[in-house]
Amino acid sequence: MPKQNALAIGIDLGTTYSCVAVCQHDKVEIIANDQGNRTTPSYVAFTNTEHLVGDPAKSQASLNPQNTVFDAKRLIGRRYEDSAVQEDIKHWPFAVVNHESKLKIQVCHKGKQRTFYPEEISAMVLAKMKHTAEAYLGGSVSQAVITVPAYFNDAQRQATIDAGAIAGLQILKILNEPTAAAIAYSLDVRNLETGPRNILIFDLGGGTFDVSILAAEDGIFEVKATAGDTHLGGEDFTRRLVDYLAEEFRRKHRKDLHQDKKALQRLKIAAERTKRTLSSCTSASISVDSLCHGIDFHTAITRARFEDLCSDLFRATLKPLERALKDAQMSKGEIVDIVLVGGSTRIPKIQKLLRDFFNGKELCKGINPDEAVACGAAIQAAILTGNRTPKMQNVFLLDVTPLSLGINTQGGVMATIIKRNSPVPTKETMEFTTTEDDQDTILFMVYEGERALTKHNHLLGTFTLKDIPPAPCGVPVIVVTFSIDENNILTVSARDVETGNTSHLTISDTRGRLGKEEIERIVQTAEEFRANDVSQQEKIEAMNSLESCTLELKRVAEERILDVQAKRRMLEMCQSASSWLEGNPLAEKKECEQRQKDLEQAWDSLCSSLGQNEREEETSHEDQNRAWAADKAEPREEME
Amino acid sequence: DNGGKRPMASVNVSFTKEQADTIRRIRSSKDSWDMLGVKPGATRDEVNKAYRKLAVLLHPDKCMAPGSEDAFKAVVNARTALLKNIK
Repeated sequence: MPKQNALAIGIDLGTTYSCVAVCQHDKVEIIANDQGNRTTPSYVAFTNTEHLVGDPAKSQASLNPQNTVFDAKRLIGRRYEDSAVQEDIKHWPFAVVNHESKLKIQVCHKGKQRTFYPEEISAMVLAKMKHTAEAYLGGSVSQAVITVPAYFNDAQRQATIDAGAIAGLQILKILNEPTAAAIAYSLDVRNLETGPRNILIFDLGGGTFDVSILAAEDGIFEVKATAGDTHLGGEDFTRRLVDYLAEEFRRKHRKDLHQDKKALQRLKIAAERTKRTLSSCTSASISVDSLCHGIDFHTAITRARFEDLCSDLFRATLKPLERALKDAQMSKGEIVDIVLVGGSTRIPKIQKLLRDFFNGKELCKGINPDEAVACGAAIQAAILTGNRTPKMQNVFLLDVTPLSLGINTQGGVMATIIKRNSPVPTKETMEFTTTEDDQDTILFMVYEGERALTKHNHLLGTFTLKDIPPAPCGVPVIVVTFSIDENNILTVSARDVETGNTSHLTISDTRGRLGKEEIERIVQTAEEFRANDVSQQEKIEAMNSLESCTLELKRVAEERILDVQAKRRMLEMCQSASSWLEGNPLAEKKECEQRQKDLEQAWDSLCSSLGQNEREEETSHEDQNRAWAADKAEPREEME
Repeated sequence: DNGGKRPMASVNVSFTKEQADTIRRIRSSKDSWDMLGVKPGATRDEVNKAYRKLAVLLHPDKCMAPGSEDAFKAVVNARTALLKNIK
C-alpha cells in the first residue's frame, strides 16, 4: 500500500545511464546529481579504500578496469549459461563467475576479493539515485517507481524489484520504459490535442531496445503491443567501433589491444565520444595519447564507415517494429505519432531507417530522449501516491505482458496459456490431464517465449502436483491457472478437480532468483557499505577542514604576525600539517581532528602570548624564543 | 519482501460505492455483452469504449475494493472474447 501524499520518485535504471525525477508543484523535475549532471552513469567501482558510484566511478574506469562494474542490467535476472552473458563476458574488463548456479561479479575491494550479485550492483546505483533525490528534496524518500524495458522477462523484473529492496526503496510499481515515455510525451505541454491517437514509442537506449504501440484516448493509455530486444543498444554500437579501432591499431602498430584492459577501456571512452560526435558531424577524429606501449593513436572515422560497421544492428530494429504492428493489428498508416526515446535514437541512420519504414512520416523529437522515461516514472509515482495534479487527473495506464507464457506438454511442445500482449493483470486457465495410466504425479514446467518447442523458450520454474488418484490416462482433470499481477509478475497454480489438491508456483522461489535470507544478508552488507560511505565522507570532511585550517593560519600568519620568530614557527607548523596530510591520504578522522585541535591551540597560545607581547614588549621576544627552542629541543632529547 | 505487490484491500482502505456495485454487477453478469454493459451486436468501438471505462474503474492501480483484480481480469477476457467475433 503506497503511503498517501508522501513524495515518491521515478527512477529510470538504465544499462549505461540512470536518471531520477520527481513530480511536485504540478510539474516534473529531473534531479541533477552532486556533479550537476542530469543523468548518472550506471557504474560502480571498488578501490582499495572505498566504493564509488556514478560519475566518479566512470571517470576512474580506465585506471581500475578490473574493479569497475557496468552493464549490470545486462546481467540482472540472467543465468551464467545464457549465450548473451557468455558473449558479453568476453568484452567486459571485470570478472563474472558462476556461484552456486547463480551469476556473480568478482572484484577486489579494499585489498580483498569479493563477489556481488548483479542485483547488488544495481542496488548501489539505485541507492545513489535515491540519495540524489533526498539531497534535492531535503528529506528521506522511501517509495519509487522503477522502469524496466518492456521486453524484460519475469526473472529480470523480479531481480529489479529485489535490487530496489536492497537499496531500501519500496517499489510502488515496475513500469515499462516505453509506457513511461508515452505518458511523458502526451503530458507534454506541446501535445494538447485530444481525441484518439495511436502512438508508437521507439526506445533504443544504451543496452536495450523496445517498441510499444499505444492507443491513447482521454488520458487512458492502452498498450496494444510491445516487442523488442533486451540486448541491443548503444553499448553494442560502441563495441563495434572499439573492435574496428583496435583492429586498425593492430594493423598500424602490430600490437593487440585486447591483451591490455586499461588501453581497451581508454579506447572505449574515446569511441563512445566519437559515436556521439558522429550523430552531429559526418566525420570525427580520435586521438588517444600513449594508448599502448607509449604509442599515440590518431585516426579519423566517417559517419558512413560507422553506419556500415553497425548496419546489421541498426536493421535488427525493424523486425520487432513489424511484429509490434502485426500484434497490434495496425497498419503503418494508422500510427499518428512516432516518438523517439533513448540516446541511441539520435543516430541519423536510425532515424532515416525509421522514417523510411513509415514511408517518410516525420518523427517526434520533441521530448528529451534521455529524460522522458524518468519523467513518466515520476508522473506514475505521483499518481500512485495520490499526488496527482489536475493535468494528470485522468491519466491511466493499461499495460500488457511482453512474452507468451505456458507449460511444457508431451513431446516438448509449448502449451501457451497467456498470449503475449495480453492486458495485465490477467488470469487464464487451461485443463490438463495425465499421459500414462495410474500416473500419480505431474511435473509442470513453466516457460516463457514465442517458440513452439519449449526447449527454445526460457524456463521460469517447475513444480509438481502429487497424489492424483489412480485412473486411466486422460481421465483426471487438472486445472492450471496462470495469474499475472500489475507488475507483470507471474503466479501459477494447478488443481486436481477430483480431489481438490492444489500446488502453487510463485516464480520467486525458483532458481536464479535470490532467496529471502540471501536478500537479508545483502541488505546487511549494503548497510555496511552505507556506514562505510558515511565514515568515508566524515573523514574527507575532517581532512578538508584540517587543510583549510592550515591554509587559513598560514595566510593569517604571513599577513599579520610581524614577529619573525613567531611567524616562522607558525609557518613551520602549517607546513608540517600539510605535508602530513599529503603523506597520509588514508588517515583516520580522529587523527585529522586531533591535528587540527593542536594547530588551533598553538595558534591560540601564540595569539595570547603575542597579546602579552604587545604589553610587555621587550622581554617577550626572549621568552618566546626560549619557549620555542625548548619545544624544538624536546623531541630531540627523546630521540637520543 | 516483494516490494511491488500491494496487499489486498483492508478495512481502512476506501473505495467508492460505484466500484463495489460494478464488481457485484460483473460477478452476476450472464454473458460477455452483459458484463461490459453493451447490447449484443455492438460495434468494435462501443466494446472498446465500455472496456476502457470499466478498466479505469477496476484496475488494481486505482481500485482497492476486494475482488477488483478478478473483476478486471474477467472484463479483459470478456472484451477479448467479444472482439474475436466482431469483424
